Amino acid sequence: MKHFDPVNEKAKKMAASLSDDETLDVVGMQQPLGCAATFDPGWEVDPFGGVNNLCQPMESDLYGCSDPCWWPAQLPDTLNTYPSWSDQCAAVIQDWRKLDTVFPEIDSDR
Amino acid sequence: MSENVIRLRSENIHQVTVGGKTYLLVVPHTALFQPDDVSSAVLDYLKRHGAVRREALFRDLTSTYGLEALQDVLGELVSLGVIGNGRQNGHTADALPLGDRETLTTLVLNVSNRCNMGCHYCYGGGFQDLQSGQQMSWSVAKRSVDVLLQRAGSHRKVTLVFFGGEPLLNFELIQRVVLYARRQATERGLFVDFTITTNGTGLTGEVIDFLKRHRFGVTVSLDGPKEIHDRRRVFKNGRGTYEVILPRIRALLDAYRDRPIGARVTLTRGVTAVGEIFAHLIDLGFAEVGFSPVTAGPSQGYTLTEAELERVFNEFEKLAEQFLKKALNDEYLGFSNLSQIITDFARGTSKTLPCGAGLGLLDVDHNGDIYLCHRFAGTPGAAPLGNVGNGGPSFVRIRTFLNAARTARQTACHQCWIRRMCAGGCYHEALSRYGDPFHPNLHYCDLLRQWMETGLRIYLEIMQKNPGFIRKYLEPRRVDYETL
Repeated sequence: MKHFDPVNEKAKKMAASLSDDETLDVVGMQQPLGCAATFDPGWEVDPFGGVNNLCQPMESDLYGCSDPCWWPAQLPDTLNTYPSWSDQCAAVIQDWRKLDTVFPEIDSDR
Repeated sequence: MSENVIRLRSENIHQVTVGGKTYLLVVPHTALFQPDDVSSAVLDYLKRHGAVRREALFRDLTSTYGLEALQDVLGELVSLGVIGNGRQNGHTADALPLGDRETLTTLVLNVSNRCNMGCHYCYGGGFQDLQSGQQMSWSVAKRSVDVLLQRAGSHRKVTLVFFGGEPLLNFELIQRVVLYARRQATERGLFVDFTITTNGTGLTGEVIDFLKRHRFGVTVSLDGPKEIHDRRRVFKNGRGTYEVILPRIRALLDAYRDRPIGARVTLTRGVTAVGEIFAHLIDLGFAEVGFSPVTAGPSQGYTLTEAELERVFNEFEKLAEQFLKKALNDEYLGFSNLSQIITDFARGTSKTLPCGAGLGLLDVDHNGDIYLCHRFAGTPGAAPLGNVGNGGPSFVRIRTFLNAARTARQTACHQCWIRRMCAGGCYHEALSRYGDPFHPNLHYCDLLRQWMETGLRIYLEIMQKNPGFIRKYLEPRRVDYETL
């Protein structure tokens, strides 16, 4: 903070936290690290600008949200609820027709 | 295209000039800054133009301040959330969830529903109820203590508040609870603090000794000099209570000096002599005096009229000037309403909820039913949030309440510069006034904003002329809502 002199305690805290590292760098990650990090911007593009990991064609990214790391997405949660959803689909590029829609079961306890 | 447009988010700033210096309050964070020449010029420019293209700003200001400085200022304004791009932003909703902390720091025990007085304005309901009212039983009190200690989480210090009715009408229970809570807390490595709010009639020598021995925080409810006090604070037969409580209060103030004793004054219709009341109570020896202006209640006959409320705030302003004068001489004037605001500004307290009710503080009534705070206990239409004997507080219901309150108030108050200090005001007052606890208390907004402006000015004047005062007198009083 060069142009604003902090007066109260909160302002001092803000100024300190902003001057630690004023502009945060976006760091691309080729290798997803843990669950929450996989949607960081930059994941899809490899360090050389390659687009192999991009979500086009969609097949390459189909399981991205359900296998390595669960994230609410428009495909069944294969980690917890529908572990056998893609059992019939050995190679998604050929077998994608075998992937079917799922419907949640009504749990009377809820 | 809109990325090139800079828009001043005027709802996020408030500027104030004190002693020739202009300060910037960044509203969402209650952060106070003093802008330099360049940033002041940029702010003025943006205030004149509202939304402006980046190039236009550079074209107009570069010759005076240089491009680099202007870019720095814009970067800092973005970091502070003071400017955005050309897109119209909606109100800044608070994305932070309340979290799933289910801890308590303070439990208010309505140990007695009885009261030996019959104050006309009492929110405790009809006098009949109070007369025949129930006392909290030992089993309910014991369970309450257990709930508080079990739910202390990582807090090392918890507080038990004895409230009523008149709590001292159940002094036997209070004694038992204190001993039990002490023992249980020690076993768990916790410290338990006790406070009580009383009408003063029960302050016998024995009671005073007990309060002293256990270092109680004591607040006495009274309304000022005899002629004002006796107008509404009467026994059930209509006789004034001043003469009865005066010697007892004197005895308390003489004997118990370990902790500051506060007076709580209720201002109702016809009573606006804040200065006179304050002087009287400070003369009696109270360390702090706080005023509660009644602006809503079950009986509207006691609420201050608009003109009266304005007079009350005018009187507050006069007391505030006295406070300032003393503060500059390094003396403390115990005017709670002001010292609280100044503490909040010094600290940068930024609230999205008006008080600690539900955020670590809960109330237990004589049946063991749990409410948000003591005001809700027994209020018609207020459903309990659990029972100490039956699973304790329902944190799901508490969170639902708080989230609804926050959403309603953030929407209604999103352009107000005191929104992070007031957060829409007391839920119970809103319930009384509007029939809806989530409704912001809109009936005193203008006066409250003016009052906050005074508090801000006085804080800044103290910071300019005697900054040590804040450290010495106000920092020890802080209440840390954020770690609740």
